[in-house]
Amino acid sequence: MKNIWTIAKKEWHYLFTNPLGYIFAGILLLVANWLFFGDLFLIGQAEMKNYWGVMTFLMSIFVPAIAMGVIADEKKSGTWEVILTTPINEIELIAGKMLGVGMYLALVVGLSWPVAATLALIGRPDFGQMVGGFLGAMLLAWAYLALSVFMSSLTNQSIVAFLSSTVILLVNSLLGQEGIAGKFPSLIKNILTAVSLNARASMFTNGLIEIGSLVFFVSWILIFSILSVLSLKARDK
Amino acid sequence: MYAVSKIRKKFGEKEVLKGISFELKDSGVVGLLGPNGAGKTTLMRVLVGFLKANEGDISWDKAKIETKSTEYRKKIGYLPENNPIYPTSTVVEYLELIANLKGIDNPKTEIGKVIVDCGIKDVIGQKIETLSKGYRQRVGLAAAIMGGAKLLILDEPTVGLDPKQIIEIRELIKSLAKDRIVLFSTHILPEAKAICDRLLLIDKGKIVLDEAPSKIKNLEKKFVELTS
Repeated sequence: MKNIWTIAKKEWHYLFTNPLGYIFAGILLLVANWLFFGDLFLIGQAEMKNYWGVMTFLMSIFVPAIAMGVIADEKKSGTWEVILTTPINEIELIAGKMLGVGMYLALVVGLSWPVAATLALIGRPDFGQMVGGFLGAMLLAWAYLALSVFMSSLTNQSIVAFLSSTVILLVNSLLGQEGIAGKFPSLIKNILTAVSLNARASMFTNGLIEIGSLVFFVSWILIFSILSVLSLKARDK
Repeated sequence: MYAVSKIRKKFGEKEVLKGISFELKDSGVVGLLGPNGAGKTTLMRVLVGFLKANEGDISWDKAKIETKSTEYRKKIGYLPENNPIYPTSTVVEYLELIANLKGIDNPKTEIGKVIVDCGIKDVIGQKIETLSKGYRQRVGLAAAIMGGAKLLILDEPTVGLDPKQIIEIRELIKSLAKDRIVLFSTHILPEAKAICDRLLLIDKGKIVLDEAPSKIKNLEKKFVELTS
């Protein structure tokens, strides 16, 4: 556990001693707020549903950008060779990376609180829906992170990790949308919706905290974390 | 006594190490020589547990070792080729990271010790990316010896250094080898002759020479003969 925390602290520290962490968080929140508040008074509803819609789309680009170098850069520079010859194993390394970047993403999602506070001031929002929205956005960010870390573990080129993660996440998001999934036969439509991260997260932003979706997110995060560990171990082959 | 016995390593169908065996005493500098692609880096990676051998054993004082075990990794220090370290960290941050990962009980004292041993007191607050290559090597060595490593494995530690830095790093390696084993690879034959107590020449995955440099009349000639 100590090793996981050591790596997590290193990742966290890196994101806050590097302009990258501030730039990405700043741009994400700025664009999400700008798009949300631009339409808020036209819609006339005190709810964050549209905010999360914008946020989750932006995160499908933002999270891969933050996570692209998590393993790929270590491989490229050779630092993973130093780290993995200290008393730390691959599971601890991946868990530490996930925890460090995951805490950063939780902070970024948490920084959406002024939106919630503003809505509470000007209207009567549904607080259950708001809490669900925060939870859904965090789970979605962590699921995006797990996939992005896995893609980063497959290469030593961070740009390859970024592009492949973004494409997969955008396709996953698009195929889960009613307009696209609805064009397929019902069985395929059901599968596409079931594996769509955004479709799952939208249940939370609607205020529905469903156990099945919680299990889905946890499973997704675990599966891609395990795949990342296996990918690191494959250096022996 | 550190003993390596019949180590074999394959990548797919290609056998890179073909039954490497040797023994090392508790201190001194041992040079690992060989042409490019001979298997030096792979052997070092196996010895530090970054790669797992397909066959063979490693033992320390006759006790068989699992190279991925925490106990073993606490006893070894490793400086890979090109000395990869985090450029945006300061020297002290990097040493703290390694100290924490090595599970050192009193990291501040240990960092203070290696800073003195490796002569990096003046640069501890500096970012690694701002250091000269010589100082970067010293930082890498400081991280490697942390925790009182008894076996130091250095992959081409003088590559890319200027002549003054090379002399400094050689002196540092010699001083570090007083109470530990230093196994280091190099392409520079005069360097191997100058600082090593013993030479291991590896070619095509096999040890083809194991001798004290003083007993080899013409190392360059021997190298060409045994590796051609």
